[in-house]
Amino acid sequence: MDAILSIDKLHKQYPDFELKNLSFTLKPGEVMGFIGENGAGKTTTIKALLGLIRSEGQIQIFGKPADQLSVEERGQIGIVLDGCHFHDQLKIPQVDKVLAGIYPKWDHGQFMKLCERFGLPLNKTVKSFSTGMKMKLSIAAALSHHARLLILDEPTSGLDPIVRDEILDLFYDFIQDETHSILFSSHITTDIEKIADVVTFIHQGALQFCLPKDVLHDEYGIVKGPRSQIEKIDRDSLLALLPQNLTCQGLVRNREEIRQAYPMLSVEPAGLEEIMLCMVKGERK
Amino acid sequence: MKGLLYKDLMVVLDSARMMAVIVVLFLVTAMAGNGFSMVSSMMALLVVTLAISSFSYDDLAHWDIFAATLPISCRKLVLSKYVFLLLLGAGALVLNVVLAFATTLIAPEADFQFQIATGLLSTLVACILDIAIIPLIYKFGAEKSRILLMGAMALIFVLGFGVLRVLPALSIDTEAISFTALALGLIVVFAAAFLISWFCSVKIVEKKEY
Repeated sequence: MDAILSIDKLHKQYPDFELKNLSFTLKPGEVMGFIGENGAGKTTTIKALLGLIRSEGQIQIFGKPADQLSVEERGQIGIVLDGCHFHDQLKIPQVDKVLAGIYPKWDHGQFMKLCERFGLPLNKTVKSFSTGMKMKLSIAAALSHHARLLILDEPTSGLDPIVRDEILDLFYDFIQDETHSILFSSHITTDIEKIADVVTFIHQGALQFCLPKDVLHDEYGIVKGPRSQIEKIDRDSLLALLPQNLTCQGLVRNREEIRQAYPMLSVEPAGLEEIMLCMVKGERK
Repeated sequence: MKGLLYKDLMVVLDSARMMAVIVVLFLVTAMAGNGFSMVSSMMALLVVTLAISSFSYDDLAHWDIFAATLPISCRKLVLSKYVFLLLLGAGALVLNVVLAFATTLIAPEADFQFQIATGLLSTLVACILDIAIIPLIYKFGAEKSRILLMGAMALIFVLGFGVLRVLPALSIDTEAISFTALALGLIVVFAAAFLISWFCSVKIVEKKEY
């Protein structure tokens, strides 16, 4: 199946940061969790995808170079950037009219339905909205112009768990159509665990892995024990070593093999947060 | 573009309400016979300054980065600001006509044609000022550009004053310059400034990184 989004050797150089030849592919029907610590390069990647910064490398969206998309095709990308970009003076019916005059396939009914579902007041200005309400408004807008691809930059950061859950439910609904895809950038790993099919992890501007979430759950593990014992694990399996107070924690690739080969070590499935911690803070093997 | 124009209109509406109060004050001043041309110039300047305010509101909402992701070309995005300015200019003209009518109703001796002419010229000059400043706003942001606007106004004032002083020295009778010639001259300057400014703004926005 053709990729809905693919980037190949994406490179961007800043004086104090470099995005290093990033490559990944997002297929129709997939939700890609795009994770990394703050400053890892997630927003830079998204900005490059959207043409907000100049970069080297190839970016294809809907099978075409991103800078050659037609107005209709650009209208099929739903975008939620960090924060709300609607003016404080506007009320929801006015936001509706503004976007109806911009998006070729704006769906007034869908927008009002989503605003109602989110409990957003129609008669109040954006200025009076809470952070959560503003993010809901941005998401409602992104989902109201028949997008096929959602690009979301930290859409759940700063939101309470209840609002985050509501928003994730909406993304579930969106992805029920198998021609739709979501690129979901976040450092909230629990959200990614809930929704993503594929996880792409970047650290200091470099791709660490791009793997199906099931592979991470089934194969990756955290081993705990004395450092001397963990260091005996072969280099191919041991990805990182994180010394702790009294013991040591290691990230391994093939959990069940390690469990059988090293019965004296405790081996547990690795969550995304543990994987991130080990790979960012640990010693890489 | 319709959506962008609607957005600009809605966000400056608050300022426009305040401006309506000022316009009424101007009207009262004009009726009191304190000089129509001054009132007309100030009103034109105030109305078209709303275009600059729309940039400030965009900055506050970080609208530009979002706008750059919308399915609209860079040229249209920039053009919408110029069209908005033209609409405000048209609005300023209408207000000036109303003001001229009101003044002649109160003071029948007032020269209606002169008042309309003053309103037209004031609006053209105010629009040219804004047109000059828009590329700078795209380059440096609205707040910094407000200072530049003050500078541009001072420059135009000094240039205008200078020209009026220099022309007699060159044996050119300024009294002989007809309104039609002046208006045509300003329209030509306006059209040229519009095209150059729009071209520069598009180039600046195309090169912009967010």
